[in-house]
Amino acid sequence: MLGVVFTEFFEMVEDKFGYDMVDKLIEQSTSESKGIYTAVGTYHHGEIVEHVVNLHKESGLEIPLLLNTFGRYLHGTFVKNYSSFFENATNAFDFLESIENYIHVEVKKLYPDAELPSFDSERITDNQMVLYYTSARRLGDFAKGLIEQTMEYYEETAEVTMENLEADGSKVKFVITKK
Amino acid sequence: MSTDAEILQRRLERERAARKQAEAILEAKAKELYELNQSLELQIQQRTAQLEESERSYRNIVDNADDIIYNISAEGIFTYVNPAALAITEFTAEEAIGSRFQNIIRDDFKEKVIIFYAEMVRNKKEKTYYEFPIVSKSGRDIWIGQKTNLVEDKDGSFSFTVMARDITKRKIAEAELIIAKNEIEKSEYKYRSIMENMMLGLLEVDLEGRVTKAYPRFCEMVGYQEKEIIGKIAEDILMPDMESKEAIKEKNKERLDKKSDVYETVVKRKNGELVNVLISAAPFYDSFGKVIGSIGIHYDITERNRLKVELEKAKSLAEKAQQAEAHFLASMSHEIRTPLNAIVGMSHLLQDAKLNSDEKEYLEILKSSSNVLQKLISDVLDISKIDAGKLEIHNKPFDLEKLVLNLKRTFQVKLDSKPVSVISHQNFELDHLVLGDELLLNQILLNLIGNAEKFTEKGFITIDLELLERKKESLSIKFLVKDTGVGIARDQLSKIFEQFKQAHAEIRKDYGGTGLGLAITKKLIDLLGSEIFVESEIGKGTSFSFILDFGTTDIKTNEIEKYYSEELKFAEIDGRVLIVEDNPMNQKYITRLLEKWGLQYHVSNNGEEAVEICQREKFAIIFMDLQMPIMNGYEATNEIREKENLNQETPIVALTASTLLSKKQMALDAGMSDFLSKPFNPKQLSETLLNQFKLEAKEEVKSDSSNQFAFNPKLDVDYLIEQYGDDLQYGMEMMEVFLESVQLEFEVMKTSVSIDDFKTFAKSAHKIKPTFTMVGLSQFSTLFAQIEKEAKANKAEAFDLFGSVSKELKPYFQLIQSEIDKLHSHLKI
Repeated sequence: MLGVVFTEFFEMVEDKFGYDMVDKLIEQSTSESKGIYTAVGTYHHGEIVEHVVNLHKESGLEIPLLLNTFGRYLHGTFVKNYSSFFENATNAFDFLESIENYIHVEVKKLYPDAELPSFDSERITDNQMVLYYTSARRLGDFAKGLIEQTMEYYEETAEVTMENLEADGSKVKFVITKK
Repeated sequence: MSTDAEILQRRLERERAARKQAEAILEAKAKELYELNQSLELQIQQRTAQLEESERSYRNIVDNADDIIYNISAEGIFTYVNPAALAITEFTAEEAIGSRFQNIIRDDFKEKVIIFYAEMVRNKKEKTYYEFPIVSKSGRDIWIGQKTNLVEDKDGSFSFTVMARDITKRKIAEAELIIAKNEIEKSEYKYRSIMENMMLGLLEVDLEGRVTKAYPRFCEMVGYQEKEIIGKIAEDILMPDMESKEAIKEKNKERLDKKSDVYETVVKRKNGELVNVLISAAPFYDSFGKVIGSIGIHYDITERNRLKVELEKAKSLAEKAQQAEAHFLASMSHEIRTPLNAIVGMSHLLQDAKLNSDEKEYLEILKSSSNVLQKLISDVLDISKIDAGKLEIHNKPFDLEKLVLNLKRTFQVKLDSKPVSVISHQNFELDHLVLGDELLLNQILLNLIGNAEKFTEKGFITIDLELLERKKESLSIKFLVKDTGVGIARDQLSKIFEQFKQAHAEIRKDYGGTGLGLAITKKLIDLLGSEIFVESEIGKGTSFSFILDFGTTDIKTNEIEKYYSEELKFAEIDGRVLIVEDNPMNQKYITRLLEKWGLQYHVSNNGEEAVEICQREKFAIIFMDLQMPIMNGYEATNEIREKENLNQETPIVALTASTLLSKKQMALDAGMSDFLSKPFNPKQLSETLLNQFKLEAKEEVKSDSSNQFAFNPKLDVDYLIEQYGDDLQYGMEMMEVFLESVQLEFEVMKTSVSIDDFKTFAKSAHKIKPTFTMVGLSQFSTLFAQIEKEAKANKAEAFDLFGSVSKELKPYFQLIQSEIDKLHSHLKI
């Protein structure tokens, strides 16, 4: 998993809970990297899961909420670092549709080792689209946060429902209905 | 619980470690990039070298290409010219590069070529192909086919890359082909214009019948202009009705099978007039031999058809006129002959009266004048009969020697007063009768000897018979009648056989005659299929000759004497003679003759009286005039033959002034036994009378001696004998079957007539048609064939004809029944 996810996660934790919480999570961690992350590195994805689970234990907040919040937070980072992707699309649906065949293709060029989820999209009407999220990382809630933040970024109001197509969450269907 | 200091300490350590980790990653990435860069430079060097090599090889190809290759700038200046181009145009590279492209274009094409390429630039066409001639340095014309690529640079400027090929040879070939094609077209045009000038209208159509070309003469024929019919379906415009349209479609289909055809049809002109045309149609091929349409040559036969119709009209008019003439002659013969007959007859009777010498002289004049008149009428009628083709040849056995002998005797008596001898000469023996027309031969010889007698004052008249050939079944005999008379001038010889022409006008005055004798003679000999020849010398005499063929018979000449001798006593005739005649003079003439011969008679004034007396008395023979008031001879004969009376089998002899065969046939058809033409002399009457009884006697003798059955002569006896021969039982059965089946079919046919059912009617007619021939009535087979034909065409004439034929048939049914009865008794069944 890309290092930026880890560095941004701990930025957010420090932001919301203070560095004490960051230190607590790292100290509890049994991971190989011992909490030393750099945005240009790559780390095992299990480590983020461990940190999130531990944050849940420490904060008492539910994991889906934590992942959703992290998704929304990371969106801000993406806008800051990769603004051209967002500027290329004029609305949320166009942007979401471009993830799979454009953004991820470009990401692969910069980070050949990156393991990216797939986002198959299907435009039902002008106001409704379906996104199928497929990933062994099972981070549907994280993805939902990213989607919701995308709608907000384009100043569009929409209801996003989430349905597990596989029980383990490796395949998730999002229905996005604009209001 | 860690202190803030401890946490901070850990944070610092972590961040230092993260920085080091990042630095290591970046260091590794930088190194990787450097190595990549190095490899890229190497690749570029290699690629550049490859490119140069490839360009060299391309240039090499271009330089060595046979095709002309060059580049031209936007301004039309050559920037590159390959060696092939230089070789063809004969310019050096130095002369070519930098010069203007348009300089090499042939003058007459310059403008066209420049406009073409200006157009290419304006429309930004990437590729074009154009053919035009250029001129070499030495002034040679070269045709090139030029492929041009428009090369546009990013800055919007452009240039041309051109590849061209020398197509001079092809152009020459094309030009030659065009010339050759023109030649073919010229020759085609030549032949078509010949046909056009022959008033033949040519029309070409494609496979769907669409007009592809219409030539002027055809347009003239149908009244359309070519542009009005081009592209249209020919039959739709030109054919007057659906049926002919379909017919033309069928004909056009046949063209696909490469069939040609000639047929007649009617086409409709633009103004609606119909034109009869004869079309000769043939398939039309393209240069690969494939049928692509048909060509029709039309010949206007309207005028020809019109002439045909007029000719037919004229012919029918002529025929009608001829019939009218025949009718006139027949009527005339009746009108003149009846009173003449009385005159001739009376003068004969006067001869037996006691007269003083003056009266005898008057009587002689009366006799000779009426004889001349009789002869003239007879000649005129003969000529008209022959001309109308109504004279029939009747071949019968006769004694040729005796005929000549009789003629010789007749003229010996006539020439008693002149020093002229009649000599007959024959170079062969004849002990049998010959088969031929005795009457016609007699008339021919009579005319020729009569002619000789007229023009001979002293010396001889020779009748010479020379046998030319004797075969088993035929004899060929040359007849020569020679005189020592005045002779005929050479220049007059050709005229003597013409009607009413005598050698010169004085002849009639000096010798008399009708001028018809030799004309009749020639016509009669023609009729017998031979030819008359004449030789003459003025003052020495004339000779006529002709050759006739006769059939042979096995009847000995001495036997005939028995049948034809006049020894038979009139007293042997059993019963009275019935005379049915309305003209009192004729009544008297006949009755006096009969009285003279000692015969009993009864006279009836018309048919009705005759029929009435026939109920009461059986007569030996009946003489029946045909034209009578109240009931004519045909009707009376019918009645006598059909109704139960005492004279159903009595011979009836028709008396008539008409000599027409049709009347004779009518009389025989009505059931009469013989025919006597008025006026007749006593000898003719006695012969007729005797012949009736003798013939019957002869038949009786024959049937007794050979036990042969004699069929009624009204039937086709020859056929019946041939068909049934010894098996008379079979013949009788056939007749019984015939009566039964025909009467049955007649019922069917009558019913068909009443309900207008032509089909059933025709079927019945067909069924019974042949049965008539089987019983010796072949003439009715022919009639029923005609009835059948008409019925098949749904013509009402069939019904009319049937009506009259069935009436005509009635007496024959009775005749067949009586034949059956006779056969019964003959066979003793």
